[in-house]
Amino acid sequence: MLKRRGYVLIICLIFILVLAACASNGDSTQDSGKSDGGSQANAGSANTGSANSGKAAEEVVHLKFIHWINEDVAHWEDLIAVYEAENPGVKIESVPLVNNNSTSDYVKKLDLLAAAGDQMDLIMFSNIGDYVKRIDAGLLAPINSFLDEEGIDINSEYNNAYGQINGQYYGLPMKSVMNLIMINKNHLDEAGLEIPKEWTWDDYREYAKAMTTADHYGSYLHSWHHFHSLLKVLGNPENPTLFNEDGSSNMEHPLVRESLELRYQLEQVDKSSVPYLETFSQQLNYRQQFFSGRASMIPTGSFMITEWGEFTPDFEIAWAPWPKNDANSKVYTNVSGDVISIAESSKHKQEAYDFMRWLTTEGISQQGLWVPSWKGGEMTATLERMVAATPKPEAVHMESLAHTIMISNPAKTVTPPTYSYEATTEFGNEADLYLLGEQDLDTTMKNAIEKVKKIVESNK
Amino acid sequence: MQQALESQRHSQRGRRRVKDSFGGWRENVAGYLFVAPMFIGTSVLVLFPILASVVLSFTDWNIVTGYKNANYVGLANYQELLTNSLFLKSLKNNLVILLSIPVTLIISLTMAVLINRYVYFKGLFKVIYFMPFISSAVAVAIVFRVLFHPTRGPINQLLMSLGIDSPPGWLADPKFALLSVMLIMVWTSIGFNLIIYLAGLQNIPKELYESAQIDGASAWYQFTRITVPLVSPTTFLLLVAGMISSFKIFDLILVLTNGGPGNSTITPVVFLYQKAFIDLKTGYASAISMVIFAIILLITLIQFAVQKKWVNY
Amino acid sequence: MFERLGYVDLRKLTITILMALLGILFLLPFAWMISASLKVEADVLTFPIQWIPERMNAIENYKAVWAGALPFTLLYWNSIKVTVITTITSALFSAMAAYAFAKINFKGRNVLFIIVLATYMVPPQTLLVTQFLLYRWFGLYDTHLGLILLNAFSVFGTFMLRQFFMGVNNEIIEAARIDGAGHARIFSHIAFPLIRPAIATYAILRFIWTWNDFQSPFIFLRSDTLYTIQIGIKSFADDHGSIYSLMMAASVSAIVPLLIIFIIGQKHVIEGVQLGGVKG
Repeated sequence: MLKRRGYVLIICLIFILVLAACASNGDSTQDSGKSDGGSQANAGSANTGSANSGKAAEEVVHLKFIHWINEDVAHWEDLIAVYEAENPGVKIESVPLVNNNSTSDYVKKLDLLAAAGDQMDLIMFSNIGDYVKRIDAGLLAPINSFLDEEGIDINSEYNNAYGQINGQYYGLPMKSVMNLIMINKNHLDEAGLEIPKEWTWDDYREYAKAMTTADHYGSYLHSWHHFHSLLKVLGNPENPTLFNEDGSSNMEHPLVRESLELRYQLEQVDKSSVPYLETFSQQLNYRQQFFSGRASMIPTGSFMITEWGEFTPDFEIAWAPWPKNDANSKVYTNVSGDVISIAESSKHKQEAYDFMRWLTTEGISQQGLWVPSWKGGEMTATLERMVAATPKPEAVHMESLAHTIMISNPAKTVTPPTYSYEATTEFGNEADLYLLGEQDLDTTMKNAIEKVKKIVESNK
Repeated sequence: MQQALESQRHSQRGRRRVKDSFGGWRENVAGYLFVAPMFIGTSVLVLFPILASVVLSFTDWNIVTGYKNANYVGLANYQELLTNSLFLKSLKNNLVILLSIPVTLIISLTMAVLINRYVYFKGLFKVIYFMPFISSAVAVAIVFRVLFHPTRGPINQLLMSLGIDSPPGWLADPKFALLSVMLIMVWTSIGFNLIIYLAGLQNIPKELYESAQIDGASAWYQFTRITVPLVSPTTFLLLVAGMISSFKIFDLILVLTNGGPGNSTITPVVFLYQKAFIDLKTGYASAISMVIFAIILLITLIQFAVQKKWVNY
Repeated sequence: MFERLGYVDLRKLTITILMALLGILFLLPFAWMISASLKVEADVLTFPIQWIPERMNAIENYKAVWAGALPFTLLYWNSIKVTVITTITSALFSAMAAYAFAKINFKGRNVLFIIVLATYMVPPQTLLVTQFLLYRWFGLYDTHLGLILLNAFSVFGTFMLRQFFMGVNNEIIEAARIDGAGHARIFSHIAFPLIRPAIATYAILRFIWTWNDFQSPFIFLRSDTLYTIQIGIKSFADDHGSIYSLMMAASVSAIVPLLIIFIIGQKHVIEGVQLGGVKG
């Protein structure tokens, strides 16, 4: 009698498991909308069910805008209200997936929601790597048809549209981040130096040496190998990345080796830049280093115009453009930024596209937080608005800032392949060993080139 | 005579009754019922996903694209994995980390014994040594980074004053990073092992120690002949659980070194995480976890087989 | 063997002092946490560490945590609710299963135990996605019930308590069986109380693990009102990184219940009832 009971129990168990298996399979083959089920606690009264059943055009369209920047920082609700006032048929819900603005936490949640088939219309990405990976995965919709219908050329509208992938554009650039050098003006004055208007990396070395004293280093380079160990590469107008257009490795370009050498010289030979050993072992914070006056110069991105973190400088910040690789050329810098895309599963792509266009042009200018990629905006006015919002606007040397922004030309945008993160990590590992004195430059370059080549091969 | 027979029959019946209620189907039902809640929960929430993972390890599934786009790739994931030098390195690193478990247990048991009988302010010490276990991982990382600072940290300052000219770079040194991580791991887990040992020590009757003392046994003798054998079920638990956990340690490594420098502290789980959530190669990641599982299972089975030799229940 | 100086045992005193010195090392991170929570953010990551803050910002920091934009009290309450229920449930389920594995001779016992233990050997990161999808299907996503269930079926608990149950002398149990007691009675009246130190210890551990769990609430919860305190702590960040002074103020506030539970729990560990039939 008991044996039967035992077996019944086991059969029930198997039945439940099989049911769960079939159901979860079935669930994810359904598209968004319906599969939300009752398990989502949506803010507001989103009638996702009815909106997605594609009824008459009078129905209000609900769009979900997925991103990672919380309300306190970006004030999305106010911005959205402006758009909704002008476009009564559309309601947009801002959905920050994380509340700590962490992009790595964000993509994790994004992927899980995509796997579960949640409704998504607009998705923002903070860097090109994440973006390209998800195009590959089929998450995003191509927008060429919308661009053509509107009759615009993405590259005349924006100055850092990411390149086409398989002949299609997949997103519009939101903010633009270019590279520049932040300098502590007090230290400049103490060393008797002028704010550089155009300079080379040799000049940078001289400046760093001159500003290194017993209290502070002349320069600080962070543990981001893809940035601070590739300083010269980032200024290459033809290709500021480690990959070529066709996806093959660009590691053998002489500028890669020169960049590593430059960093080594600054840190180990001139001893004018904080040594990598310290940066890495202490996981130094670059804002801490600069704002507390422990480093006079820091190569960084234009987001630093407003994003000071918890710090308020007690000195004036001077700005210089990215040093040139060649004294006779113009100033070039790699330009990056974030991008907004339309989800492939969205049922209202046209409305999403319209909002996207507005957000990346007038929206971002009104927000006054970031430098827009949009060429149509008024740069000086936007800069002033941005600076006015910092804790201490008078600490920003406006003249050198405006000059720096104006004189910098964008390097060619090369869309990285999906395996670029893997490859850059490998490069970083070799750079670790070189900068810590574990191996010489030749071995480092040889290993890095080989490893990247292997990654390219395995992804063919 | 009658009475003797009767009593014999009684005791026989008694024995039979005893046999009935000590075995048979009633025992099975009881067993299954007691195990049921835990087992059902584990089956649905853990066992089923593991089985799903096994199936997925033979595909090239990418979580973002959903089940419909998973293609069967046979053993390709496993082949790539077992020839991947980074994965093999991570396995090697983890085997080295395993060595730290017995060290942790020895230290923890010694301290448990000391706290149990040989110190004042027992309660206070228990709290103190337990603190690292509940402190924020971020705080632990920052404090140790300072201690291990290559030039200005107290440890290297001490070494340099003792005449060692170029002391190791610890967390930033590819040759010493793994050791540094292991030291920190031992330090954080002492508290955990300590309180479990303390629970185990409570099971040893004081009379044993007292009679040993009366017989003139030294503290060392008491430790090795009484404490260690009688606490062996706990040691077994901590050894097995410790080894399994060492393969799952993740947060600490992520916050201390993220697998670096130069991949010297990468472990299979960190590798798994990178493949699953950063490269989005979920099918491949499932294969990784199957291999990790197989290795842990092997180690654990060996431990179970050997337990009869030294564990006294 | 004992060298008594009046009422003071010299050996005990020496060991106490040595352990105290070592203990300072063990207290360092906690000391740093407190110190950071009192500082102005810009001073937190200076080198060398300012153990005593040069600029005190304690009131502002703690005010920002408790009375700021984050519903900290709600998160605290959520954590308490989820953690207490999880601990009780987990202890009960694990103890029941452990008792069965240790003291009931049922068919398939060893195989079942190996299966259960085997599930402990798979890295949890792998299970994340499938569990996430399962939860969506079961309607457990974004619920406290779901969160509780995640940690309510502990393999470690079962394993640990099984070891301790195995140390319980069989004679007591047999004696009770002869008296006609069923397993339910034996479990609740004899076995469970006998391993009170182990149960208390496991309860402490489970409480701490659940309380400090960030990953599960992060993945399986969505609503601000359901979040637990660990999410709250991590949210003291802005677009460029963590604000350590506030994070640590929140962390210090969050450690208090852990200390309380630990102290209470340890009393139970020491006062575990020793019936005569345990050993020897």
